[in-house]
Amino acid sequence: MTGVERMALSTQPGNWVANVLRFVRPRDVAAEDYCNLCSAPLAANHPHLVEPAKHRLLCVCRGCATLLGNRGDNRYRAVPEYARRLEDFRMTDAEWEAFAIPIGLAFFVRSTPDRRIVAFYPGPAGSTESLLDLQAWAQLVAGNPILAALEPDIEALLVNRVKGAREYYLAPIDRCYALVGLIRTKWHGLSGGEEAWKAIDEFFAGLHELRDNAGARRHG
Amino acid sequence: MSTGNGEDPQQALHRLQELIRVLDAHPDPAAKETTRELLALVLDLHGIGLAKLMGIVTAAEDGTSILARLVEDKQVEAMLLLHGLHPDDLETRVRRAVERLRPHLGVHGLRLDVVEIASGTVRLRVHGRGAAMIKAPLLWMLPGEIEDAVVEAAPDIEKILIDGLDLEEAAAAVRAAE
Repeated sequence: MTGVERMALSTQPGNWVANVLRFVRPRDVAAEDYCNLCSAPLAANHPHLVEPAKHRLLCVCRGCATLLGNRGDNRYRAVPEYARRLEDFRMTDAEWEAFAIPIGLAFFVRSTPDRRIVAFYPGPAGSTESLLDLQAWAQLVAGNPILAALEPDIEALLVNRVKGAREYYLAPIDRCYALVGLIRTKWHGLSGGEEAWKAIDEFFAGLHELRDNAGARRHG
Repeated sequence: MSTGNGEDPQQALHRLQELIRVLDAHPDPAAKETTRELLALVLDLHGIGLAKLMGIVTAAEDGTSILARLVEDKQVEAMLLLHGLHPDDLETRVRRAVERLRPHLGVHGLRLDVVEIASGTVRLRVHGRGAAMIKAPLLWMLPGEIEDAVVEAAPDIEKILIDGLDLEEAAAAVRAAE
């Protein structure tokens, strides 16, 4: 391209926005990381928007998140920043077994376009939707009224019952997808392997920290 | 602005890039990092405030007409572009600029198409009866004209590539034709 030579002669300021941002946010700019809405370069800890009607999760810049995430028209909804551990959550083993989910990890989302609760569990092939026993869910909500306040599309009840754990979270949906991505890439064989379990442990440790550290959002 | 350059946006943008080049090559990494952080912080403060301001404008009853008036002002538009808050996304702005170039290129029997816009790189292609048929001065001006028009509308693009205008090959063809 002749650009270099010509730019020096041009009286136009050229791609000055890109030049400023490249200097200001050098570590933030990865080749593929651009805001899905306005194409601005993205920071590693960028926010996410959900577009419920299209079942899409968008990586966006702070500007687009602020501008579009809270407009109230529900086309885009801003994913919350923090996970909340539900210390008082009650679920018996029998109640869990009623969901017939094959592993001890799952998340439950209230889907606006589907008009129902959807349950997913992660596996080596990605997330699998589980046919939800509505009666079992109703019983769970009756015992845990906080579930009635589950923010549709952007927040999930995340259940961790692996290796004897009994942890329950109101978790941002992007974190749940990150967990699915983590398991898909690390899982080997039938039992997952040491690396996968280490990654899962780290994920939940990170989820605890998320409360105190807003900058800890990463892709899985 | 303290330098007095702020009143001429073009000059200010040239100076801005010049200063960034100086800082980027600064021998003291601590000074460079502090300046970078200062600039990032000031940009963030303005960016978040501006994003909220744009939210208020967008939600207003005549929001669309106010937005149109805002981007008509070159300085306001530059500010919105810097913060990624322009009401038209990068692709829309690039396509509009290409659209505006079409009559000018059409006169010379050329057509300009957008091949791809991805990850900040814009790829355009010039089609037509062959660049070799065009007289040399125009041919040499053409890439610059296209680039200027597109980059002016979208200064947030990283790179612009124009296919179909091989200058050397075309120049050789022009010489052969003469």
